[in-house]
Amino acid sequence: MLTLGIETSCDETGIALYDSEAGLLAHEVYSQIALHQEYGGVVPELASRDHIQKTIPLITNVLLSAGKSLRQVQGIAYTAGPGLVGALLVGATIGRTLGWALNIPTIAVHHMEGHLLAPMLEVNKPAFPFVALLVSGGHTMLVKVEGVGAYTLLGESIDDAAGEAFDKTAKLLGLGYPGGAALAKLAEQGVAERYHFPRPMVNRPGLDFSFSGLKTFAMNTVLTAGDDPQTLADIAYAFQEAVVDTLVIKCKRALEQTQINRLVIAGGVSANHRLRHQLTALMKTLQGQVYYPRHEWCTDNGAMIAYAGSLRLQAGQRDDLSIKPRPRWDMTELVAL
Amino acid sequence: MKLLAIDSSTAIARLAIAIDDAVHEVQLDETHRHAEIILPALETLLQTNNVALPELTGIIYAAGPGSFTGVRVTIAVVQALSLAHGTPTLGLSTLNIMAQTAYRIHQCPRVLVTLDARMGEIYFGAYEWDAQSGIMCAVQPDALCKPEDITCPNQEHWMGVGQGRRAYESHISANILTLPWDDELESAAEDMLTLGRVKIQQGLLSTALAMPFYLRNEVAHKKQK
Repeated sequence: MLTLGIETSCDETGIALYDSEAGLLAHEVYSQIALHQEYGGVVPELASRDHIQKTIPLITNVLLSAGKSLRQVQGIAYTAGPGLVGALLVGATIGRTLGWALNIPTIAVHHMEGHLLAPMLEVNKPAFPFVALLVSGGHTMLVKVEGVGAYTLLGESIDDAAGEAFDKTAKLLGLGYPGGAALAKLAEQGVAERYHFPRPMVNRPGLDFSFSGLKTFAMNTVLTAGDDPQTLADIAYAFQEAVVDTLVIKCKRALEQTQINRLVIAGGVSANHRLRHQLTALMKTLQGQVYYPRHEWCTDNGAMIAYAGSLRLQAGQRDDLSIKPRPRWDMTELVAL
Repeated sequence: MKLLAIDSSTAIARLAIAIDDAVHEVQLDETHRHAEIILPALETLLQTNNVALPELTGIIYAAGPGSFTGVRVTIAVVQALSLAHGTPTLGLSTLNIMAQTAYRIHQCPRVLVTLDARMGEIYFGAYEWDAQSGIMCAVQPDALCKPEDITCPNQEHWMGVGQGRRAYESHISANILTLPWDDELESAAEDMLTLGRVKIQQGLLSTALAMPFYLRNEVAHKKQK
């Protein structure tokens, strides 16, 4: 089944063509980072305005690079949530209307299911069951995955997402927006042990996270310690260590709790080298396996949506004609295949 | 000639099919639910009138100004329909459509159109009947402006339509307030089709990607350097 995937949940327009036999045929992502940079954060209205300009041209490009015509597409998968409602609406309306006009089935895809299943696009893919750590600018959650759609939420952030804490702290350190990756780069110059940041919520049971206190701790440290380049690098180092340590501790706890020894890391923050290094070390100790999607599938993309949607379409799931973006959508509501 | 008209730029969305001179219109009076109900309504409209999408000569759409989200629902639907069947499209200003409706109802050849753009501003257009083409044509570009900046383009007799005047009555100049005015005027899809047929004869159907016409382009504050 040839499935077109459309992702417009936030500030990236992602389009892909996935074939259930031949795998991913083509995909393209247009990032709006430059557009939002001068506003210091994503402006929802501008995001929607950009998606409506980019979605159709990207669909045309992807078809062209895959050597396929629109008539050959057999199903359409689009992100219906969670995300920015106006941004979601663009992809959902284009996707649903295109399916109706071509008389082919469509399916509304949960953005986080896309991220969860992104490692399945790789040749070396995890078998079920596994524990997934989803870490991005919008989400931090631990999920037990027993099959497609069979998800149990083990824990999530009660305030800022890990990626959001990275970006906000980067802003404090004068690294611009979005500065998460720049903060990680600056941390490479940092000296260990000069500052010690708390590891939030590790001393209490459970698998929830909290990162907003770390951001405040970073702000207070900057105010008292000054802002010479080495100090900023040392703060970046201590901040990153605190986030990574916290994520590693909770992953370990989740794996022990579920008695599973396969860990999947997905979402934009999963590209962080320090996190990958520490989780690889953890899984070595636990004699388990860790799986990451390649960098281009860590951030928002159409490939993961095409893949997740393709599985659901092949299982016979279909949308009706009403277009309903869901800015909030609990992943556990999804139907297991 | 078979034409489809779509407008979801305001609280009431409108769809219409024109088969030559016969127009079949539906109104969707469900504010904020346009996306949910537009495709089922379109399907029913096409089926009732025995029209298949590939048969359409063109799609005429309201490009704005209006509700940003409402406008994008129309644009997204039109872009997808056009991509699916290669159907050419024609975008119209919502202010032009209102002026055309005003002409049909009031037979007034000169119409000021005002929509409440919120944030203390008005979407403003000035349209005049063109005897040669038989449609209302803009005498100046549509604009986003302060209520006090609304003026008549010349000394002729004008009437006004739309809710912009009532929303900002205390800011509007006295000579505008004395004009005859239809505050409640709602545009109709049949007027989109009247405008559309003339513009199609003028060669304005296009295969270019349908695009919104927002007028308001400052939607966020840039951070202080």
